[in-house]
Amino acid sequence: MTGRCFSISLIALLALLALGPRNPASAGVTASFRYPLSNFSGPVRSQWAKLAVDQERSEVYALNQRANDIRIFDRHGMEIFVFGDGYSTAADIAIGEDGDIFILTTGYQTSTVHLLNYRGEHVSEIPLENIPESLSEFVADRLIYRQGSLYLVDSSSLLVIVVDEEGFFKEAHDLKATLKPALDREKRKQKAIKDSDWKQKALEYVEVNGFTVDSQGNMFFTVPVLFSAFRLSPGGELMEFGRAGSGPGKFGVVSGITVDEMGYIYVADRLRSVVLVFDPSFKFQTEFGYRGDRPSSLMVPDDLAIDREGNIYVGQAANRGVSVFRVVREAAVHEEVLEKAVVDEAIFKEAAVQEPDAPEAEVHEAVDQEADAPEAAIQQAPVKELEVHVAVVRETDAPEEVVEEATSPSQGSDTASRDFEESGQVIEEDVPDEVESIVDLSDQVEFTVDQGGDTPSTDSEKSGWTIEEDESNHLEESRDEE
Amino acid sequence: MKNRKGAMVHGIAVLAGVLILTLGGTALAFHGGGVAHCDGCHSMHNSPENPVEGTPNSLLLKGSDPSSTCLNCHAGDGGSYHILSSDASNWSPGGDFFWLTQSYTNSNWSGSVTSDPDNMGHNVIATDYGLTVDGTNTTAPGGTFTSSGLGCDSCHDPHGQVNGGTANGELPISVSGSYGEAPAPSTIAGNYRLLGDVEYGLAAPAPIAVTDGFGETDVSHPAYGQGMSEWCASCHGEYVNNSQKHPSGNGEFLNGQSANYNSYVATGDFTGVQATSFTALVQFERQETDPAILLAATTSTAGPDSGDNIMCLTCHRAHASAFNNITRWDMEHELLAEGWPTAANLTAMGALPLSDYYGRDIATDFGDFQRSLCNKCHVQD
Repeated sequence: MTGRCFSISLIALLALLALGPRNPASAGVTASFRYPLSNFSGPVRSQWAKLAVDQERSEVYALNQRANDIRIFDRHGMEIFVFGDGYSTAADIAIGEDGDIFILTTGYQTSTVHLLNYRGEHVSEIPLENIPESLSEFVADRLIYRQGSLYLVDSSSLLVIVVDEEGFFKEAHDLKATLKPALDREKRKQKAIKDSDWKQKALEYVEVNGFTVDSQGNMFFTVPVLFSAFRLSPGGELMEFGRAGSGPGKFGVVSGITVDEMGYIYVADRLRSVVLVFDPSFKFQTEFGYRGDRPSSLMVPDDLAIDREGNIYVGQAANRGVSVFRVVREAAVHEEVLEKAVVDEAIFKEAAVQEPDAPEAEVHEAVDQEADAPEAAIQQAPVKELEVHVAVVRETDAPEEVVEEATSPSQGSDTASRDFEESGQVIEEDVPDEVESIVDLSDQVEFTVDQGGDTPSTDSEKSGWTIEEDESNHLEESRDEE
Repeated sequence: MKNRKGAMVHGIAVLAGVLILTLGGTALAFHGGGVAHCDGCHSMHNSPENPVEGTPNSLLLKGSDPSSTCLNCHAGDGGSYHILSSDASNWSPGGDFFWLTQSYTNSNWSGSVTSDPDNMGHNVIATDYGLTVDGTNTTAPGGTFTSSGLGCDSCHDPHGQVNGGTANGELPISVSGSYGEAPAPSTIAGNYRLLGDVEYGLAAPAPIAVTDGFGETDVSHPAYGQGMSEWCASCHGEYVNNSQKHPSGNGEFLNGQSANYNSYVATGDFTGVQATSFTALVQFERQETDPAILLAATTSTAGPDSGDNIMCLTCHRAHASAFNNITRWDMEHELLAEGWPTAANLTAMGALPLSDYYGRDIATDFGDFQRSLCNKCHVQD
């Protein structure tokens, strides 16, 4: 009997070994180092440069605050223009669709948006109009341009103001209010360990580090002291992902964040000196960089930007300048992600049908963004019952619409996302491991998911990505192409 | 067999408890008064964060050196727990290491003068963040500590031990020593700001102080208790030789100077009263060791009693400042409003306006003819 058990155990073990590490998604994303942004003197040094991409012209802008200059690089990573006089207090930079340059400067309890033309010549200041009185102390230190809107972020107060290109107020978001469930969760955790008023007071010092907006208007941001990244949809749904740790896919000190047109999310980690890649459903794909002296290494990466060709720009410390990587998301694997989501949808629907007591699907309603009074436009998370959000995938012809978030009933049956009311039942299906919790914004419940499994190996072959050090004189390459 | 099973269950329960304590609640309280989780700073096996094919770090740190490792978290703009900004926006009691990264040029009677950023702060070496060894002093002024070895860990014990830690027979740490919290029974609080003590290699016990946050204003500030100057003397011993230098330390009571402090509002204005005379620009020690009393004092606007004492941080900051010799105000110009760096200097350096005095406009708050704040105690203006 004992011998039979042993044999069965041995067979099972061999079968597990034969299957190898389970890492289905990471094979779909590869990242290869290309070169540092350079000029004819070599790599351009900078310290934690703020980055912005001109998608129309495939140019990247690097604001080096310590040197008080702004440099423009072409699609080959070659510097083509330098300016910056008069913008010594520039905190961030953004590029409009028509090549307009927006510079955010900060002063004592003030911030100003400047409009510059493509030559870097000052055109005008953009006064912020109709800002609600309650936001009078707002001081922006981050700036993002997306589809005709300027997103201004006060990273300390966790407020976001959205204005149009003329500076007229459109809406505001109170990220601290939105984060309250996550913060309260931390309070509860710490309360459980020891009664410490101070640590709870420390929650008041939560701040946003990285911030970006995707083409659908989803805001992504990182909060270092929570070791987490977040996506806030235009409808007010907050998704948290990432988990503290040192292994692949885990977060140390999270900083810059950006999103590509396929919805893949890139998060810089200062402590681990890597850029982590997540698919649109927050499943960890791969990471690249790592501390070191190799050209492909990263030293305390911070701001990120990505262009349509998949070139991702990484601002670093140690005066290492901006490194450029090429990210390839294989179509076949992307299809696999899509198929899995469709299967997930079917399973989820089936589960809902089979469960007689299951409540009807509740479709999340977008918050009215057209409130009459400016004060009313300050967005806070809508209060709802327990929700379970599932990755939303819809196939369309347009790549940028392949993956999107369902936010209204009008998206109908071709969406795979629903919000379900539950009464304490934990549903573990279909939610990626990296999604630590899906926060009920009413702070009544939270949904946690087992973190185990599926973490890729540190072995680069196993994790499905390779670093191809292509630092072999890209200057010549660019000349050849010209 | 039953015992073994019970032991196994007990072991799993203990392990689960350890995991919960380890994984939960780590955010926002990284140090927690004592040692943090190891992998926050170390990469145990020269793993990807510290690859063997690169330049292995002998301490297995996640930074090129100890200070760079600290700055992975503590570099950033704005207030809070940051100490190195890109715009002089860290208005913490210790000061912003930003001032070590920029210089400015002005003219005076002697001609063009360019500031020496090395002289604006403790030159901690943090390669990843562009902070380099002191280019002027090879040893600590007034001492023998070598400049090439200066880092955050010269003053702060990153492991947060008190008296050598539990291995040296000390009780476990249950709360931070920075915020006046009372430790649980059979435990102790950590040292203020994880400062090193005698067992860590300093020449004096860690100073006693309490703060209520990260910033410094006249209504929310650290309350210093005892021992700061004695502790600074670990490296700057000759500067705390009270027979030849400005007195400073536990026995150097303010005596009559406390009355000056309390009545002095600004140059020519002696209408102050003790209840509202405090300015965080001129700190003092309260000769107090009770954390609860010090905590209450962190929001006090009251000036000193005669039994309170002057300390190094009365005139200097610990990290860096906008002024030579890390002073809290410009001691090199007759009128503070005409001091350096000027508003134009600040702008050119990318520093926030008024960041040199933590948001105070000297001309507005003190007057165009305000002279050195030495006069807060000495009234020679």
